[in-house]
Amino acid sequence: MNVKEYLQQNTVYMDGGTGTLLQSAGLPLGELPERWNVTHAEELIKIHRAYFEAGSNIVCANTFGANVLKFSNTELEEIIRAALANARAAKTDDEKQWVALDIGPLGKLLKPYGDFAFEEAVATFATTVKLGVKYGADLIFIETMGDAYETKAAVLAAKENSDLPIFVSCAYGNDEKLMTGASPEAMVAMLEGLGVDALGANCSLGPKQLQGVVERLLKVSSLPVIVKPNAGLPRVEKGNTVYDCSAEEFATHMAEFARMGARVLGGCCGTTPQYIQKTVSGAMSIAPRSITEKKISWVSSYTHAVTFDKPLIIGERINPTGKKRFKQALLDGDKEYALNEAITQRDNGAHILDVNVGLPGIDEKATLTSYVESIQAVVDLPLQIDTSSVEALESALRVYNGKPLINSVNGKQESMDAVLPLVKKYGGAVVALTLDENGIPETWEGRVAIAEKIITEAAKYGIAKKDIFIDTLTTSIATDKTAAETTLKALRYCKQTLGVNTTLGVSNVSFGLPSRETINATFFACALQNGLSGAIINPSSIEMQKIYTAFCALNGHDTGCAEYIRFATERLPAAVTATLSPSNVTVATQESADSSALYAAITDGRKEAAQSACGEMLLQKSPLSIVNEEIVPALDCIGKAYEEKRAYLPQLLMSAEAAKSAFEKIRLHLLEKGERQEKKCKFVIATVRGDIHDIGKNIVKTLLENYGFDTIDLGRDVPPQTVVDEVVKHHAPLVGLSALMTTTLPSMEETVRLLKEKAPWCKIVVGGAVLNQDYADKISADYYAKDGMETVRFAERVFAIMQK
Amino acid sequence: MLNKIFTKTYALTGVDKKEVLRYAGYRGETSSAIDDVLAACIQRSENAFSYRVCYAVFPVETLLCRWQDSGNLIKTRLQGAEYAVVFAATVGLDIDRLILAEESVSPTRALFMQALGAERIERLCDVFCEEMQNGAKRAGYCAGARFSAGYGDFPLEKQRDIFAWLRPETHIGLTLNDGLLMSPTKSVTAILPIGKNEKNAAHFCADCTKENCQFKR
Repeated sequence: MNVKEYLQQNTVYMDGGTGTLLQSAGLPLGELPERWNVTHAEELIKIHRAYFEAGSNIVCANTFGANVLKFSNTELEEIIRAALANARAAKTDDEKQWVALDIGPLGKLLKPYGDFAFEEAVATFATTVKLGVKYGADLIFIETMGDAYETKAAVLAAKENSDLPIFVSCAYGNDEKLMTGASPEAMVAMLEGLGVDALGANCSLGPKQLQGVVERLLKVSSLPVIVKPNAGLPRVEKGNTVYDCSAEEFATHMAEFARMGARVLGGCCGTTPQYIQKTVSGAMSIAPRSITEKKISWVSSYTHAVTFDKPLIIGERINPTGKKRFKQALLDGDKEYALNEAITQRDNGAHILDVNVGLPGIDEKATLTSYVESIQAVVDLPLQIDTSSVEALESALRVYNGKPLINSVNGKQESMDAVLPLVKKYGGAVVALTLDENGIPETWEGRVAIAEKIITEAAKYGIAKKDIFIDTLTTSIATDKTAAETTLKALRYCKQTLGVNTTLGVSNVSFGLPSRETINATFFACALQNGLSGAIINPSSIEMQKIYTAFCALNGHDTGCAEYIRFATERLPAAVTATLSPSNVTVATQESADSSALYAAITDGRKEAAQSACGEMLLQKSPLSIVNEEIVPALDCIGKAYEEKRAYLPQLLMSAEAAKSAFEKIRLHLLEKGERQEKKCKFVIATVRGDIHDIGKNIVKTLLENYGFDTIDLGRDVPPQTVVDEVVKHHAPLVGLSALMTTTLPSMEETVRLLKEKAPWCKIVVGGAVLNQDYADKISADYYAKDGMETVRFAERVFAIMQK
Repeated sequence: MLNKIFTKTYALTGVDKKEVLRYAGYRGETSSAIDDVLAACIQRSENAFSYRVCYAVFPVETLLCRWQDSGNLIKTRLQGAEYAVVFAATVGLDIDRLILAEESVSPTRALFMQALGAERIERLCDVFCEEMQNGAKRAGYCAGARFSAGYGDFPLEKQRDIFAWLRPETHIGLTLNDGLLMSPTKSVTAILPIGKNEKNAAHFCADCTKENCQFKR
């Protein structure tokens, strides 16, 4: 019998702490405990045996930190082989005892907050997993995980390289979250989706403190729950460190967990065979609670899960269809536009964000993946990954940190064959469009029939109804007067009779009609009433928000009407004021005698004022003269004040932001006329490899953009070769490199050397906290700039020479 | 040996706005615009901090033995001390997320978020060290001034030892990358000497060799 089968009928007991026991056996401070597998095999066997004798069904081999980051490949293989051999040698019974390959965190934070790439993490875990399989592990125990993203990397590695049962346990803090912010619900949503066999909590806290987390896990999990706490919290008593929870007390708590429904019990730091023995005897008489299917429809981000127990808003704005400005940004590789949209939609009440970057002429796979990575780095909402490219979809699903919504599959066999396996593998929920090889059925019954077909096909892959969102397709009532009725009838049937979730892109209904919001809002209300689960709308639309908040209040989704009241007292009046007050009123009063409103707004650092003043000015002046006569002189004025220490960095930045908003206005103006803004030359800018501090670089970039340079920002932790490749590709005449730490100076030196060799035409300017003129000279950089303004001045000089 | 690792969490309030402005490179009187940005940043980051420290106490000989050839600063600083508290502190990853989010929206707010993070982590270190100081006093000892790898001639590479001993990855979610930078970025590791004759002091700019520093106190 394997452990998965055994677990179906029984409570499974794991082992307790190993580190503590190794230390008391003489493991010195700082030595890697995994080495003892080879050098002190007998000590390990003794510890493992003590746990088997105490009643553990699963003993973890001593492989917590066994990975290629800590050991060479040869040593790693020897360590894992020995670890599993030791654990097996300790078995006292062949029937109900198993040996787990134990996998702990890598000790690295993943990008973008750390320097370790997601796929690197997958590969690192994969090496350990393969060796575990080779040397006979019975299951894989991924434990003490403090980060959802790293957990996903480990699970993918386990799934892709073995057929073994996978147990996953995370370390929750006092705040009932992982170190990087995930809630228990977020972890359950993601891990169930990924198809692990048991999940739970271990380490960090004692059983008493873990109570809340365990309750939350049991409430939502359809999988067996693991509880493996520490022996309480450590404290010093008469010069000795002791854990404050005795074996008896520990066992009492564990018995309570068993009664609550936990099915895998064990201990972590500070627990000993005695703790396990008492736990086993205390919980033995408690009948295992059966594990029930919770049927929760949800998706998750790296922090939280959102549940469709009420209709939710899916923000539609990150989609280039009909948006010139976003199209341009996509072609320019400018992510700021999308990130701004992401933040705005979140602030305006979106629960999930749709991400679509499909545009002819771009590499959708690379673009979608990098947008997903960037958006999930700054906004904590779950994402709906929206693409018709299967390749782009899989790539984006891999790097997504949570349980995603996938947009979409449809009734065509080809689509189902390609998309549904990905939904299963990466554990998402999926939007299913009711169209097939014959197009969109005209009748509601036709659409329902396609929905049924997709539901049946999805079931073959093990995708449950709770994870299917049928889109009965909104079409315009301008061309077909029954369009809305057909959509809504199909919607209601799917929700009420088929028992699946539903979704609609709401605003298509009014296509071709005037005053579209009126129709959209009314249709939205009808759709909600007919059972709409996920509304793909613009969350910034006040009309749509009125309907949504009122609907939730009317349908008992808003306790005490709190959300509605907040909307009515805060957002509604703000929206009304904004439409009533002409934008130029505030500006006119601030205009001084000798300078224009735009000039003053920039030097004062007033963003909104600069934007509206620029808008006014565009009615009378050409964009070029606004730039040359207003914006640049204003920037020079504040730049000079900064250089003379009459103004400080925050003021310089506020002015830069104000100028930027004026430029944005000009850019839009030109786009309307089908023109593009003239730029000076290319300027490649990067923080060198190894360095993840990039605020300085970002300030320089902002200033350069204001002065009209076409900056190509390579980000932080950039390898020398990447810098060179980009400089060569664009034949950029200027490159800026920044470094904050002394330890990353060698990579700056290497980058400069490589640039001199491969791109001798390019002028190199360096800067950053640890740089100085001497060092810049030593590594043969062309220029050392002590701050952003100096970089701008240098770039202007180089550009002027180029013009001659 | 007293090398068990302890973990502490804190709830800190009261941002020192002057310090934040100093870290943002601002001197002198503030304008209402600056005050507004700062207030907005403080409000947005209200729930972003999760203050965590892990530490272990070592006999001074252990450290001096490990760090025999690690420059003079370590010797001078530990001279006369009996114990050293080696600690790692972080205010968590959320502030890094806020900084990154602001970078695409408002460089000014990004700058202030950075400064706010710096103020918060320093404050956490102050609170923790004060607590250690009070504990030391009760036992008839006194805590000296904390110092970190990278100060003076005490090599930054020693971060690796500190991470090997404290394992802050598992205790407080703090990691070290190959370039010796920490993530989350608003984090500190430091050593606090404890002895009978230590002079209680906060922190020193005197250890630093950087000239013309705009942040100098």
